[in-house]
Amino acid sequence: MFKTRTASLTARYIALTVLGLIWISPLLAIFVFSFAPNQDILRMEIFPTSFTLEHYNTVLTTNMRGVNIPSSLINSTLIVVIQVVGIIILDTPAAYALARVKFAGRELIFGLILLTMMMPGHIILMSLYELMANMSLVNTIPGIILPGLPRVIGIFLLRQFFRQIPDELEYAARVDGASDWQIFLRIMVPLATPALATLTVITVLYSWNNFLWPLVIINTPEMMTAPIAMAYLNSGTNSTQNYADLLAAAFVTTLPVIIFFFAAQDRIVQGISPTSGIK
Amino acid sequence: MRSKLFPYILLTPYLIFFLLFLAYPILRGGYMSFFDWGIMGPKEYLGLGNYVDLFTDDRFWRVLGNSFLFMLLYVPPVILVSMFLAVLLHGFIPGIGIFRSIFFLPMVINVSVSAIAIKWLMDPQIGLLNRILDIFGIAPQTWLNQQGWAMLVVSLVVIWSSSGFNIIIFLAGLENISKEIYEAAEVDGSNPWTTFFRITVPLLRPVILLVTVLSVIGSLQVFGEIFMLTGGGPFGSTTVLAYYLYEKGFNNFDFGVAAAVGVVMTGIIAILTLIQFRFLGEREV
Repeated sequence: MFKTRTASLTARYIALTVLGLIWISPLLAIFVFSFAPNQDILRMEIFPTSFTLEHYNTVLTTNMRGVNIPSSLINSTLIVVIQVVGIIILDTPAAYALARVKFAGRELIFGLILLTMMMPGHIILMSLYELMANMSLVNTIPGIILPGLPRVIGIFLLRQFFRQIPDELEYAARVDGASDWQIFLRIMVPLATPALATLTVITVLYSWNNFLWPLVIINTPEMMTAPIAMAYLNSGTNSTQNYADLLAAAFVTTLPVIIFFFAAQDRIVQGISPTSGIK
Repeated sequence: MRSKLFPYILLTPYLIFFLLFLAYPILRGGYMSFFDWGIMGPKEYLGLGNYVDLFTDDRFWRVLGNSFLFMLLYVPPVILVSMFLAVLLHGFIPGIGIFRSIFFLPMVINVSVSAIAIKWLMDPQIGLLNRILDIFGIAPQTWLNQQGWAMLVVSLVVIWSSSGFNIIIFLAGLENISKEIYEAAEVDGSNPWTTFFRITVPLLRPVILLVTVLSVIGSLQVFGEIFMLTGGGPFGSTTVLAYYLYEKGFNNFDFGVAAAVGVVMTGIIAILTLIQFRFLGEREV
Protein backbone atom coordinates (compact mmCIF):
# COMPACT_ATOMS: atom_id res chain seq x y z
CA MET A 1 0.00 0.00 0.00
CA PHE A 2 2.88 2.37 0.77
CA LYS A 3 4.22 1.83 -2.73
CA THR A 4 0.95 2.70 -4.48
CA ARG A 5 0.63 5.79 -2.31
CA THR A 6 4.06 7.08 -3.32
CA ALA A 7 3.35 6.20 -6.93
CA SER A 8 0.03 8.00 -6.91
CA LEU A 9 1.60 11.02 -5.21
CA THR A 10 4.28 11.15 -7.90
CA ALA A 11 1.63 10.84 -10.59
CA ARG A 12 -0.28 13.66 -8.95
CA TYR A 13 2.75 15.96 -8.97
CA ILE A 14 3.52 15.13 -12.58
CA ALA A 15 -0.08 15.82 -13.64
CA LEU A 16 -0.18 19.09 -11.68
CA THR A 17 3.16 20.25 -13.08
CA VAL A 18 2.34 19.47 -16.71
CA LEU A 19 -1.15 21.00 -16.52
CA GLY A 20 0.14 23.91 -14.43
CA LEU A 21 2.71 24.75 -17.11
CA ILE A 22 0.01 24.68 -19.79
CA TRP A 23 -2.27 26.84 -17.62
CA ILE A 24 0.35 29.47 -16.92
CA SER A 25 1.90 29.48 -20.41
CA PRO A 26 -0.17 32.31 -21.96
CA LEU A 27 0.68 34.65 -19.08
CA LEU A 28 4.28 33.49 -18.96
CA ALA A 29 4.63 34.08 -22.71
CA ILE A 30 3.26 37.63 -22.36
CA PHE A 31 5.63 38.32 -19.48
CA VAL A 32 8.78 36.90 -21.11
CA PHE A 33 8.31 38.40 -24.57
CA SER A 34 7.30 41.83 -23.26
CA PHE A 35 11.01 42.21 -22.42
CA ALA A 36 12.21 40.90 -25.80
CA PRO A 37 13.00 42.81 -28.98
CA ASN A 38 10.08 42.79 -31.40
CA GLN A 39 12.35 41.04 -33.91
CA ASP A 40 12.31 37.95 -31.68
CA ILE A 41 8.55 37.74 -32.01
CA LEU A 42 8.61 38.21 -35.78
CA ARG A 43 11.35 35.59 -36.13
CA MET A 44 9.40 33.23 -33.86
CA GLU A 45 12.25 32.70 -31.42
CA ILE A 46 11.13 30.24 -28.74
CA PHE A 47 13.43 31.97 -26.23
CA PRO A 48 14.18 35.72 -26.34
CA THR A 49 17.65 36.66 -27.60
CA SER A 50 18.08 39.80 -25.51
CA PHE A 51 16.48 41.89 -22.78
CA THR A 52 14.97 45.33 -23.30
CA LEU A 53 12.74 47.73 -21.39
CA GLU A 54 11.86 49.79 -24.48
CA HIS A 55 8.32 48.37 -24.71
CA TYR A 56 7.58 49.34 -21.12
CA ASN A 57 8.98 52.76 -21.89
CA THR A 58 6.59 53.04 -24.85
CA VAL A 59 3.60 51.81 -22.82
CA LEU A 60 4.21 54.01 -19.80
CA THR A 61 5.30 57.25 -21.47
CA THR A 62 3.58 57.47 -24.87
CA ASN A 63 0.13 57.25 -26.41
CA MET A 64 -0.45 54.09 -28.40
CA ARG A 65 -2.94 54.97 -31.16
CA GLY A 66 -4.35 57.61 -28.85
CA VAL A 67 -4.54 55.26 -25.87
CA ASN A 68 -2.57 56.18 -22.81
CA ILE A 69 -2.22 53.03 -20.72
CA PRO A 70 -1.46 54.77 -17.39
CA SER A 71 -4.55 56.95 -17.71
CA SER A 72 -6.67 53.89 -18.60
CA LEU A 73 -5.40 52.35 -15.35
CA ILE A 74 -6.45 55.49 -13.48
CA ASN A 75 -9.92 55.31 -15.09
CA SER A 76 -10.24 51.67 -14.08
CA THR A 77 -9.09 52.32 -10.51
CA LEU A 78 -11.48 55.24 -10.11
CA ILE A 79 -14.39 53.13 -11.35
CA VAL A 80 -13.48 50.23 -9.05
CA VAL A 81 -13.26 52.46 -5.97
CA ILE A 82 -16.54 54.28 -6.62
CA GLN A 83 -18.40 51.06 -7.45
CA VAL A 84 -17.12 49.29 -4.33
CA VAL A 85 -18.05 52.17 -2.04
CA GLY A 86 -21.39 52.74 -3.77
CA ILE A 87 -22.38 49.08 -3.71
CA ILE A 88 -21.53 48.73 -0.02
CA ILE A 89 -23.47 51.87 0.91
CA LEU A 90 -26.52 50.79 -1.08
CA ASP A 91 -26.48 47.06 -0.35
CA THR A 92 -25.79 46.96 3.40
CA PRO A 93 -28.98 48.69 4.61
CA ALA A 94 -31.14 47.09 1.91
CA ALA A 95 -29.87 43.58 2.65
CA TYR A 96 -30.34 44.17 6.37
CA ALA A 97 -33.95 45.22 5.87
CA LEU A 98 -34.61 42.18 3.66
CA ALA A 99 -32.97 39.83 6.15
CA ARG A 100 -34.03 41.01 9.59
CA VAL A 101 -36.87 43.54 9.49
CA LYS A 102 -40.42 42.32 8.90
CA PHE A 103 -42.49 44.62 6.71
CA ALA A 104 -45.22 44.44 4.11
CA GLY A 105 -43.96 43.45 0.66
CA ARG A 106 -40.61 42.11 1.81
CA GLU A 107 -40.85 38.74 0.07
CA LEU A 108 -42.18 40.36 -3.08
CA ILE A 109 -39.31 42.84 -3.26
CA PHE A 110 -36.70 40.16 -2.61
CA GLY A 111 -38.37 37.89 -5.18
CA LEU A 112 -38.19 40.61 -7.84
CA ILE A 113 -34.55 41.34 -7.04
CA LEU A 114 -33.72 37.64 -7.28
CA LEU A 115 -35.62 37.32 -10.54
CA THR A 116 -33.39 39.89 -12.25
CA MET A 117 -30.37 37.85 -11.17
CA MET A 118 -31.49 35.06 -13.49
CA MET A 119 -31.72 37.36 -16.52
CA PRO A 120 -28.78 37.56 -18.89
CA GLY A 121 -27.30 41.05 -18.78
CA HIS A 122 -27.62 41.51 -22.54
CA ILE A 123 -31.31 42.35 -22.82
CA ILE A 124 -30.78 45.64 -20.98
CA LEU A 125 -27.84 46.90 -23.06
CA MET A 126 -29.91 48.83 -25.59
CA SER A 127 -32.36 50.40 -23.16
CA LEU A 128 -29.53 51.23 -20.77
CA TYR A 129 -27.64 52.90 -23.60
CA GLU A 130 -30.72 54.93 -24.45
CA LEU A 131 -31.13 55.89 -20.79
CA MET A 132 -27.50 57.02 -20.60
CA ALA A 133 -27.92 59.03 -23.80
CA ASN A 134 -30.94 60.79 -22.27
CA MET A 135 -28.87 61.59 -19.19
CA SER A 136 -25.95 62.77 -21.40
CA LEU A 137 -23.75 60.11 -19.82
CA VAL A 138 -22.56 58.27 -22.95
CA ASN A 139 -18.75 58.11 -23.02
CA THR A 140 -18.38 59.23 -19.38
CA ILE A 141 -17.06 57.58 -16.22
CA PRO A 142 -20.46 57.91 -14.41
CA GLY A 143 -21.98 56.24 -17.48
CA ILE A 144 -19.80 53.19 -16.79
CA ILE A 145 -20.35 53.24 -13.03
CA LEU A 146 -24.10 53.80 -12.54
CA PRO A 147 -25.53 50.63 -14.14
CA GLY A 148 -23.16 48.50 -12.02
CA LEU A 149 -24.52 49.82 -8.72
CA PRO A 150 -27.72 47.73 -8.42
CA ARG A 151 -25.82 44.43 -8.85
CA VAL A 152 -27.84 41.80 -7.03
CA ILE A 153 -25.02 39.58 -5.80
CA GLY A 154 -24.22 41.85 -2.81
CA ILE A 155 -27.83 41.93 -1.65
CA PHE A 156 -27.86 38.16 -1.84
CA LEU A 157 -24.57 37.68 0.00
CA LEU A 158 -25.23 40.22 2.78
CA ARG A 159 -28.83 39.10 3.30
CA GLN A 160 -27.58 35.56 3.80
CA PHE A 161 -25.06 36.84 6.34
CA PHE A 162 -27.49 39.00 8.33
CA ARG A 163 -29.95 36.10 8.58
CA GLN A 164 -27.35 33.97 10.37
CA ILE A 165 -26.92 36.46 13.23
CA PRO A 166 -28.77 35.10 16.30
CA ASP A 167 -31.91 36.99 17.35
CA GLU A 168 -30.79 37.01 21.01
CA LEU A 169 -28.20 39.64 20.19
CA GLU A 170 -30.87 41.96 18.87
CA TYR A 171 -33.23 41.30 21.85
CA ALA A 172 -30.46 42.03 24.33
CA ALA A 173 -29.68 45.35 22.67
CA ARG A 174 -33.36 46.24 22.55
CA VAL A 175 -33.75 45.49 26.27
CA ASP A 176 -30.83 47.85 26.87
CA GLY A 177 -32.78 50.53 25.05
CA ALA A 178 -31.02 50.54 21.69
CA SER A 179 -33.02 51.98 18.78
CA ASP A 180 -33.44 50.35 15.33
CA TRP A 181 -30.72 52.56 13.93
CA GLN A 182 -28.32 51.89 16.79
CA ILE A 183 -28.81 48.15 16.42
CA PHE A 184 -28.16 48.38 12.71
CA LEU A 185 -25.19 50.75 12.76
CA ARG A 186 -23.49 49.84 16.05
CA ILE A 187 -24.08 46.09 16.19
CA MET A 188 -24.97 44.63 12.80
CA VAL A 189 -22.66 46.58 10.48
CA PRO A 190 -19.51 45.85 12.55
CA LEU A 191 -20.50 42.18 12.71
CA ALA A 192 -20.82 42.13 8.94
CA THR A 193 -17.18 43.12 8.36
CA PRO A 194 -16.13 39.70 6.98
CA ALA A 195 -19.10 39.60 4.60
CA LEU A 196 -18.38 43.17 3.52
CA ALA A 197 -14.75 42.22 2.87
CA THR A 198 -15.88 39.33 0.67
CA LEU A 199 -18.29 41.61 -1.18
CA THR A 200 -15.50 44.14 -1.68
CA VAL A 201 -13.20 41.54 -3.20
CA ILE A 202 -15.88 40.20 -5.53
CA THR A 203 -16.85 43.72 -6.57
CA VAL A 204 -13.25 44.75 -7.28
CA LEU A 205 -12.83 41.80 -9.65
CA TYR A 206 -16.20 42.33 -11.34
CA SER A 207 -15.63 46.03 -11.70
CA TRP A 208 -12.08 45.81 -13.02
CA ASN A 209 -12.90 43.04 -15.50
CA ASN A 210 -16.27 44.35 -16.67
CA PHE A 211 -16.04 44.23 -20.45
CA LEU A 212 -19.28 44.42 -22.40
CA TRP A 213 -20.86 47.53 -20.84
CA PRO A 214 -17.74 49.76 -21.01
CA LEU A 215 -17.26 48.53 -24.58
CA VAL A 216 -20.76 49.74 -25.45
CA ILE A 217 -20.75 53.04 -23.60
CA ILE A 218 -17.18 54.28 -24.25
CA ASN A 219 -16.09 55.49 -27.66
CA THR A 220 -12.97 57.64 -27.27
CA PRO A 221 -9.48 56.46 -26.22
CA GLU A 222 -9.11 58.83 -23.25
CA MET A 223 -12.25 57.47 -21.52
CA MET A 224 -11.31 53.80 -21.92
CA THR A 225 -10.85 51.43 -18.99
CA ALA A 226 -7.75 49.22 -19.07
CA PRO A 227 -9.52 46.18 -20.60
CA ILE A 228 -11.25 48.30 -23.26
CA ALA A 229 -7.93 49.99 -24.07
CA MET A 230 -6.44 46.54 -24.63
CA ALA A 231 -9.39 45.50 -26.80
CA TYR A 232 -8.97 48.66 -28.83
CA LEU A 233 -5.23 48.08 -29.34
CA ASN A 234 -5.88 44.44 -30.18
CA SER A 235 -8.45 45.36 -32.84
CA GLY A 236 -5.84 47.18 -34.90
CA THR A 237 -3.06 44.65 -34.50
CA ASN A 238 -1.52 42.70 -37.34
CA SER A 239 1.67 40.72 -37.63
CA THR A 240 3.72 43.61 -38.92
CA GLN A 241 3.03 45.92 -35.97
CA ASN A 242 5.11 46.13 -32.83
CA TYR A 243 3.69 43.11 -31.06
CA ALA A 244 6.03 43.37 -28.09
CA ASP A 245 4.56 46.79 -27.20
CA LEU A 246 1.15 45.18 -27.10
CA LEU A 247 2.43 42.42 -24.80
CA ALA A 248 3.99 44.97 -22.46
CA ALA A 249 0.69 46.87 -22.36
CA ALA A 250 -1.13 43.59 -21.65
CA PHE A 251 1.20 42.87 -18.77
CA VAL A 252 0.96 46.37 -17.31
CA THR A 253 -2.85 46.25 -17.33
CA THR A 254 -2.83 42.78 -15.73
CA LEU A 255 -0.26 43.38 -13.01
CA PRO A 256 -2.68 45.22 -10.64
CA VAL A 257 -5.19 42.39 -10.81
CA ILE A 258 -2.48 39.74 -10.32
CA ILE A 259 -1.23 41.54 -7.20
CA PHE A 260 -4.80 41.86 -5.96
CA PHE A 261 -5.39 38.16 -6.61
CA PHE A 262 -2.44 37.08 -4.48
CA ALA A 263 -3.35 39.51 -1.71
CA ALA A 264 -6.99 38.42 -1.60
CA GLN A 265 -6.91 34.80 -2.78
CA ASP A 266 -8.49 33.35 0.37
CA ARG A 267 -11.35 35.85 0.26
CA ILE A 268 -11.91 35.18 -3.44
CA VAL A 269 -12.16 31.46 -2.73
CA GLN A 270 -14.55 32.12 0.16
CA GLY A 271 -16.68 34.37 -1.98
CA ILE A 272 -17.11 31.68 -4.61
CA SER A 273 -17.45 28.60 -2.38
CA PRO A 274 -21.12 27.58 -2.18
CA THR A 275 -21.08 27.43 1.62
CA SER A 276 -20.51 31.17 1.94
CA GLY A 277 -23.85 31.95 0.41
CA ILE A 278 -23.01 32.91 -3.15
CA LYS A 279 -25.10 30.26 -4.85
CA MET B 1 -40.72 50.71 19.52
CA ARG B 2 -40.11 49.97 15.90
CA SER B 3 -40.64 52.70 13.42
CA LYS B 4 -42.79 51.61 10.49
CA LEU B 5 -40.64 53.65 8.16
CA PHE B 6 -37.34 52.07 9.22
CA PRO B 7 -37.19 49.23 6.64
CA TYR B 8 -38.33 51.49 3.82
CA ILE B 9 -35.66 54.08 4.61
CA LEU B 10 -33.07 51.28 4.54
CA LEU B 11 -34.32 49.97 1.22
CA THR B 12 -35.08 53.14 -0.70
CA PRO B 13 -31.58 54.12 -1.89
CA TYR B 14 -30.94 50.64 -3.30
CA LEU B 15 -34.42 50.38 -4.79
CA ILE B 16 -34.02 53.68 -6.65
CA PHE B 17 -30.91 52.35 -8.41
CA PHE B 18 -32.48 48.92 -8.84
CA LEU B 19 -35.60 50.30 -10.51
CA LEU B 20 -33.82 52.89 -12.65
CA PHE B 21 -30.80 50.90 -13.87
CA LEU B 22 -32.01 47.30 -13.72
CA ALA B 23 -35.77 46.68 -13.54
CA TYR B 24 -36.84 49.47 -15.89
CA PRO B 25 -34.20 48.67 -18.56
CA ILE B 26 -35.24 45.00 -18.52
CA LEU B 27 -38.91 45.87 -19.08
CA ARG B 28 -38.04 48.51 -21.66
CA GLY B 29 -35.82 45.96 -23.43
CA GLY B 30 -38.82 43.66 -23.74
CA TYR B 31 -40.95 46.59 -24.98
CA MET B 32 -38.30 47.58 -27.56
CA SER B 33 -38.41 44.13 -29.10
CA PHE B 34 -41.89 44.87 -30.52
CA PHE B 35 -40.69 47.93 -32.46
CA ASP B 36 -38.51 49.01 -35.29
CA TRP B 37 -36.30 50.94 -32.91
CA GLY B 38 -33.22 52.94 -33.88
CA ILE B 39 -30.74 54.88 -31.81
CA MET B 40 -33.12 57.88 -31.83
CA GLY B 41 -36.03 55.91 -30.40
CA PRO B 42 -39.05 53.97 -31.71
CA LYS B 43 -39.89 54.29 -35.39
CA GLU B 44 -42.74 51.87 -35.92
CA TYR B 45 -44.71 49.27 -33.96
CA LEU B 46 -44.15 45.85 -35.48
CA GLY B 47 -45.93 43.51 -33.09
CA LEU B 48 -44.09 40.22 -33.33
CA GLY B 49 -42.39 41.39 -36.53
CA ASN B 50 -38.84 41.30 -35.15
CA TYR B 51 -39.37 37.77 -33.85
CA VAL B 52 -40.87 36.61 -37.15
CA ASP B 53 -37.88 38.12 -38.97
CA LEU B 54 -35.43 36.37 -36.66
CA PHE B 55 -37.00 32.94 -36.92
CA THR B 56 -37.40 33.11 -40.69
CA ASP B 57 -33.78 34.21 -41.14
CA ASP B 58 -31.34 31.39 -41.89
CA ARG B 59 -28.56 33.45 -40.37
CA PHE B 60 -30.28 33.52 -36.99
CA TRP B 61 -30.76 29.74 -37.03
CA ARG B 62 -27.05 29.47 -37.71
CA VAL B 63 -26.37 31.76 -34.75
CA LEU B 64 -28.53 29.52 -32.55
CA GLY B 65 -26.67 26.48 -33.90
CA ASN B 66 -23.32 28.14 -33.15
CA SER B 67 -24.44 28.88 -29.59
CA PHE B 68 -25.42 25.27 -29.00
CA LEU B 69 -22.22 24.05 -30.64
CA PHE B 70 -20.26 26.24 -28.26
CA MET B 71 -22.27 24.84 -25.35
CA LEU B 72 -21.36 21.29 -26.41
CA LEU B 73 -17.70 22.15 -26.89
CA TYR B 74 -17.53 23.99 -23.59
CA VAL B 75 -19.82 22.54 -20.90
CA PRO B 76 -18.82 18.83 -20.76
CA PRO B 77 -15.07 19.53 -20.98
CA VAL B 78 -15.09 22.33 -18.42
CA ILE B 79 -16.92 20.11 -15.93
CA LEU B 80 -14.54 17.18 -16.48
CA VAL B 81 -11.41 19.35 -16.42
CA SER B 82 -12.51 21.28 -13.31
CA MET B 83 -13.54 18.13 -11.45
CA PHE B 84 -10.27 16.40 -12.35
CA LEU B 85 -8.20 19.40 -11.27
CA ALA B 86 -10.23 19.77 -8.07
CA VAL B 87 -9.47 16.14 -7.17
CA LEU B 88 -5.76 16.78 -7.84
CA LEU B 89 -5.82 19.98 -5.79
CA HIS B 90 -7.85 18.56 -2.89
CA GLY B 91 -6.21 17.94 0.47
CA PHE B 92 -2.73 18.87 1.59
CA ILE B 93 0.47 17.90 -0.19
CA PRO B 94 3.59 20.08 -0.10
CA GLY B 95 3.42 22.88 -2.65
CA ILE B 96 -0.33 22.56 -3.19
CA GLY B 97 -0.80 26.28 -2.53
CA ILE B 98 1.31 27.23 -5.54
CA PHE B 99 -0.59 24.84 -7.78
CA ARG B 100 -3.93 26.16 -6.54
CA SER B 101 -2.86 29.72 -7.30
CA ILE B 102 -1.80 28.75 -10.81
CA PHE B 103 -5.17 27.16 -11.58
CA PHE B 104 -7.24 29.89 -9.90
CA LEU B 105 -5.35 32.80 -11.46
CA PRO B 106 -6.90 32.73 -14.97
CA MET B 107 -10.36 33.61 -13.62
CA VAL B 108 -9.16 37.11 -12.68
CA ILE B 109 -7.29 37.74 -15.94
CA ASN B 110 -9.25 39.94 -18.28
CA VAL B 111 -10.36 38.43 -21.57
CA SER B 112 -8.67 41.29 -23.43
CA VAL B 113 -5.29 40.17 -22.08
CA SER B 114 -5.65 36.41 -22.45
CA ALA B 115 -7.01 36.88 -25.96
CA ILE B 116 -3.97 38.94 -26.96
CA ALA B 117 -1.71 36.08 -25.83
CA ILE B 118 -3.80 33.46 -27.66
CA LYS B 119 -4.03 35.50 -30.87
CA TRP B 120 -0.29 35.93 -30.91
CA LEU B 121 0.57 32.32 -29.99
CA MET B 122 -1.87 31.00 -32.60
CA ASP B 123 -1.08 33.52 -35.32
CA PRO B 124 -0.58 31.67 -38.64
CA GLN B 125 2.48 33.81 -39.51
CA ILE B 126 4.29 34.49 -36.24
CA GLY B 127 2.61 32.20 -33.71
CA LEU B 128 4.81 30.06 -31.52
CA LEU B 129 2.27 27.23 -31.38
CA ASN B 130 2.81 26.24 -35.02
CA ARG B 131 6.54 26.60 -34.45
CA ILE B 132 6.44 24.22 -31.51
CA LEU B 133 4.11 21.75 -33.24
CA ASP B 134 6.51 21.79 -36.20
CA ILE B 135 9.22 20.35 -33.93
CA PHE B 136 6.94 17.33 -33.44
CA GLY B 137 6.28 17.14 -37.18
CA ILE B 138 2.72 18.48 -37.00
CA ALA B 139 1.63 20.57 -39.97
CA PRO B 140 0.88 24.27 -39.33
CA GLN B 141 -2.75 25.31 -38.84
CA THR B 142 -4.39 28.68 -39.28
CA TRP B 143 -6.35 28.12 -36.02
CA LEU B 144 -8.62 31.12 -35.52
CA ASN B 145 -8.89 31.76 -39.26
CA GLN B 146 -10.20 28.29 -39.92
CA GLN B 147 -13.84 27.22 -39.65
CA GLY B 148 -14.17 24.43 -37.12
CA TRP B 149 -10.92 25.23 -35.35
CA ALA B 150 -12.02 28.75 -34.41
CA MET B 151 -14.91 27.69 -32.18
CA LEU B 152 -12.78 24.98 -30.58
CA VAL B 153 -10.04 27.50 -29.73
CA VAL B 154 -12.62 29.90 -28.28
CA SER B 155 -14.02 27.13 -26.10
CA LEU B 156 -10.52 26.18 -24.89
CA VAL B 157 -9.88 29.77 -23.88
CA VAL B 158 -13.19 29.98 -22.02
CA ILE B 159 -12.46 26.65 -20.30
CA TRP B 160 -9.08 28.05 -19.27
CA SER B 161 -10.54 31.24 -17.86
CA SER B 162 -13.56 29.71 -16.11
CA SER B 163 -12.10 26.49 -14.69
CA GLY B 164 -10.75 28.28 -11.60
CA PHE B 165 -14.26 29.28 -10.54
CA ASN B 166 -15.56 25.74 -11.06
CA ILE B 167 -12.57 24.13 -9.32
CA ILE B 168 -13.35 26.22 -6.23
CA ILE B 169 -16.96 25.01 -6.23
CA PHE B 170 -15.83 21.39 -6.65
CA LEU B 171 -13.21 21.77 -3.90
CA ALA B 172 -15.91 23.00 -1.53
CA GLY B 173 -17.95 19.91 -2.48
CA LEU B 174 -15.00 17.59 -1.90
CA GLU B 175 -14.43 19.12 1.56
CA ASN B 176 -17.92 17.97 2.51
CA ILE B 177 -17.24 14.32 1.72
CA SER B 178 -16.11 12.64 4.93
CA LYS B 179 -12.62 11.20 5.08
CA GLU B 180 -13.87 7.96 6.65
CA ILE B 181 -15.53 6.96 3.39
CA TYR B 182 -12.20 7.21 1.57
CA GLU B 183 -10.36 5.37 4.32
CA ALA B 184 -12.95 2.60 4.24
CA ALA B 185 -12.60 2.36 0.47
CA GLU B 186 -8.83 2.12 0.76
CA VAL B 187 -9.09 -0.64 3.38
CA ASP B 188 -11.40 -2.51 1.01
CA GLY B 189 -8.67 -2.28 -1.64
CA SER B 190 -10.47 0.14 -3.95
CA ASN B 191 -8.13 1.64 -6.56
CA PRO B 192 -8.12 5.42 -7.20
CA TRP B 193 -10.28 5.14 -10.35
CA THR B 194 -12.92 3.00 -8.68
CA THR B 195 -12.93 5.34 -5.70
CA PHE B 196 -13.38 8.30 -8.00
CA PHE B 197 -16.26 6.88 -10.03
CA ARG B 198 -18.00 4.93 -7.24
CA ILE B 199 -17.61 7.37 -4.37
CA THR B 200 -16.52 10.84 -5.42
CA VAL B 201 -18.77 11.34 -8.46
CA PRO B 202 -22.02 10.08 -6.85
CA LEU B 203 -21.45 12.16 -3.71
CA LEU B 204 -20.66 15.24 -5.79
CA ARG B 205 -23.94 14.99 -7.73
CA PRO B 206 -25.49 18.18 -6.26
CA VAL B 207 -22.27 20.10 -6.96
CA ILE B 208 -22.14 18.72 -10.50
CA LEU B 209 -25.71 19.92 -11.00
CA LEU B 210 -24.81 23.40 -9.78
CA VAL B 211 -21.72 23.63 -12.00
CA THR B 212 -23.67 22.29 -14.99
CA VAL B 213 -26.45 24.84 -14.60
CA LEU B 214 -24.02 27.72 -14.15
CA SER B 215 -21.87 26.58 -17.09
CA VAL B 216 -24.85 26.19 -19.43
CA ILE B 217 -26.12 29.66 -18.50
CA GLY B 218 -22.62 31.10 -18.87
CA SER B 219 -22.03 29.37 -22.20
CA LEU B 220 -25.05 31.07 -23.79
CA GLN B 221 -23.73 34.46 -22.73
CA VAL B 222 -20.17 34.11 -24.00
CA PHE B 223 -19.12 37.36 -25.63
CA GLY B 224 -15.69 38.74 -24.72
CA GLU B 225 -13.69 35.82 -26.11
CA ILE B 226 -15.66 35.92 -29.38
CA PHE B 227 -15.26 39.69 -29.66
CA MET B 228 -11.53 39.55 -28.99
CA LEU B 229 -10.50 36.36 -30.78
CA THR B 230 -12.67 35.95 -33.87
CA GLY B 231 -15.10 38.86 -34.25
CA GLY B 232 -17.74 36.22 -35.01
CA GLY B 233 -15.77 34.79 -37.95
CA PRO B 234 -14.45 33.15 -39.97
CA PHE B 235 -17.56 33.33 -42.20
CA GLY B 236 -19.87 33.78 -39.22
CA SER B 237 -18.88 30.40 -37.78
CA THR B 238 -18.40 31.79 -34.26
CA THR B 239 -21.24 34.32 -34.26
CA VAL B 240 -23.14 33.27 -31.12
CA LEU B 241 -26.25 34.84 -29.58
CA ALA B 242 -24.57 37.49 -27.43
CA TYR B 243 -22.26 38.53 -30.26
CA TYR B 244 -25.16 38.68 -32.74
CA LEU B 245 -27.07 40.88 -30.28
CA TYR B 246 -24.06 43.19 -29.97
CA GLU B 247 -23.68 43.40 -33.76
CA LYS B 248 -27.37 44.18 -34.29
CA GLY B 249 -27.48 46.64 -31.40
CA PHE B 250 -24.21 48.49 -31.64
CA ASN B 251 -22.90 48.02 -35.19
CA ASN B 252 -26.25 48.35 -36.97
CA PHE B 253 -28.02 50.27 -34.17
CA ASP B 254 -31.07 48.12 -34.74
CA PHE B 255 -32.17 48.15 -31.10
CA GLY B 256 -35.51 46.45 -31.76
CA VAL B 257 -33.99 43.33 -33.31
CA ALA B 258 -31.17 43.27 -30.74
CA ALA B 259 -33.75 43.42 -27.92
CA ALA B 260 -35.67 40.56 -29.53
CA VAL B 261 -32.45 38.51 -29.57
CA GLY B 262 -32.08 39.37 -25.86
CA VAL B 263 -35.60 38.14 -25.13
CA VAL B 264 -34.93 34.89 -27.01
CA MET B 265 -31.70 34.44 -25.02
CA THR B 266 -33.56 34.98 -21.76
CA GLY B 267 -36.21 32.45 -22.78
CA ILE B 268 -33.68 29.79 -23.80
CA ILE B 269 -31.76 30.20 -20.55
CA ALA B 270 -34.94 29.97 -18.46
CA ILE B 271 -36.09 26.82 -20.28
CA LEU B 272 -32.69 25.11 -20.05
CA THR B 273 -32.39 25.93 -16.35
CA LEU B 274 -35.81 24.43 -15.63
CA ILE B 275 -35.05 21.30 -17.68
CA GLN B 276 -31.78 20.77 -15.86
CA PHE B 277 -33.35 21.06 -12.43
CA ARG B 278 -36.09 18.62 -13.45
CA PHE B 279 -33.79 16.17 -15.15
CA LEU B 280 -30.73 16.23 -12.91
CA GLY B 281 -32.42 17.41 -9.74
CA GLU B 282 -34.88 14.59 -9.16
CA ARG B 283 -32.26 11.90 -9.27
CA GLU B 284 -30.37 13.63 -6.52
CA VAL B 285 -29.73 11.42 -3.50
